[in-house]
Amino acid sequence: MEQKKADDQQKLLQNNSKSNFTHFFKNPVALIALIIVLFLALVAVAVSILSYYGIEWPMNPNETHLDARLLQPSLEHWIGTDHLGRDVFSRMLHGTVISMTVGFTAVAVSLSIGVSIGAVAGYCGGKIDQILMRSVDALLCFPTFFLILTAVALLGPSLINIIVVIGLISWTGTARLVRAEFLTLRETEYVYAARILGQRWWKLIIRHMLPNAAAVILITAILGIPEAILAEAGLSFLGFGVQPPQATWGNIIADGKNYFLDAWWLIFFPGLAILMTALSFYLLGDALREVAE
Amino acid sequence: MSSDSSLLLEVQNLKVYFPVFKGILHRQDGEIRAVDDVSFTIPRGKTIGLLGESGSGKTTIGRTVVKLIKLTSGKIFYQGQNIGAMNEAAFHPWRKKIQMVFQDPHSSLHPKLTIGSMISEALEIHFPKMSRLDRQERVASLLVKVGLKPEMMKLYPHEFSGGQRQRISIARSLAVEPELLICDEPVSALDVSVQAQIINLLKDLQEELGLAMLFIGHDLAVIKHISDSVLVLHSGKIVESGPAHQVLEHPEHPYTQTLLAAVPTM
Repeated sequence: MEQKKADDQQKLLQNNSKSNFTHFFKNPVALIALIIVLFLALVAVAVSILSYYGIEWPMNPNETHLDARLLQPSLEHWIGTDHLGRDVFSRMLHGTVISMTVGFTAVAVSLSIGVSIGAVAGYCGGKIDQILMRSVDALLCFPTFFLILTAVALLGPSLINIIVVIGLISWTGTARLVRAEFLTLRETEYVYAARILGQRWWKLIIRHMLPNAAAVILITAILGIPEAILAEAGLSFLGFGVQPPQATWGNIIADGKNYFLDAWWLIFFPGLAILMTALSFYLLGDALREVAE
Repeated sequence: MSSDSSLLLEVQNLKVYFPVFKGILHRQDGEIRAVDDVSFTIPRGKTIGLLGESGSGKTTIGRTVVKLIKLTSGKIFYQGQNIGAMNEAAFHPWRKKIQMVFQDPHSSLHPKLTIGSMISEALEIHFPKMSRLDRQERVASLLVKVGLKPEMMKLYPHEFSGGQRQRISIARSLAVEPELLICDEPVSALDVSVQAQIINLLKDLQEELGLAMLFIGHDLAVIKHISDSVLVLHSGKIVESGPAHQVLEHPEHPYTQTLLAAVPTM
């Protein structure tokens, strides 16, 4: 009886393991990164809702004013105008929508492929694992960005194509990580216990292994978003991205590069936006990784 | 093959070899003989102790019987059926008859499931027609059976101590009403005081349910306390077997003698 009491006391002592998230919120860098990410997502949602109802705030991003070309940042044009007299701030707001859409959806595509392939490879092991992972190695031999560039050039540049191509090409890292995680999980005793109970293989994966790999998957997802955003910005800059006059951060810079001695704001602000966005996602992913460990 | 109906499990000339690969071409370079020509039987309702040092192959034997590990050669009969040769689908109905309790109570429970859903998962697999309410009742009675409270079914594994987790593990394996329980060092990760509780719980449950047990361990006192007969395993081979008191009090094989001599006396 006394030992049972000791058991109960030990149980009470173990109840203090919920400090992980307070740790996250005490990290100022992570907190700022999270705020920026949430702000960008909010901007993207707000802009797309407003333009759906025909409200363009502060100005129509595609309206040209040839009498107002290359104006400096002012109260009227917060970050100036471009060579066709379009308001750069409005264009950047619409660029946010493109960046966020590409970032999140391309990662969703790459995550679903990467997680499935990694899970099957890690769960099955043996020959299936060998075949899948050697294919991943083969895919990794190509420089990712040039592969994306080639594919988009062949398929034609459109938002859907860009998302699908980035998603189809950038899943390899996720697959490797998930496979490694699954190889470990496969040998844990609770997975053995479920196998001994006769649980089906897909339920083993979905119910017993995936939830315990969720942290790794979430972190690779968040670290994948800036890569997709950067890839899209690169494509747009090279003219293979979303086509003008639709504004993206990349093609604002592409348009502005011819005037950068006279109109520094045309490349400075979109560049800053790309940098800050990518940095925020990376820092957020990094902070979450620390929490997970 | 034996037709004796009191025999639950019969292992004949079991061999489990793990291949060793070498070089980039994955050429097989040799093998590790984890289990080498082992034969034994487990009668209904009895406990067989499997004694051996780490690396002697005792865990491999346990895991091969439940088909977590593929056997290299040999036969495993369960009530006269060669389960060793079955594929996973054919073996499925037998799964509920042979269950296992693991060594480490911290890694043998899914950390993100409540213990209630963990135990009822076992019921869902083998009693798919059971209603939700019946399942819940059954989980509650299982928890009581292993000395826990029914309201604990809503808690997560990290809210329990090592001894309690091992009780949950036992409840999960008993949920499907097995006839044979393979205990893979179920107490070696626990405090000595808790060890005795778990051992006594296993003994009580065995009496109540008529379970047969394959009790794997390296602790002589524990094995002696719980087993009817003992197998001593050394480098994958059985070096001595017989009734527990005989083997552990008057060992004949030199390896068993060194094992016994290594026990610290106070």
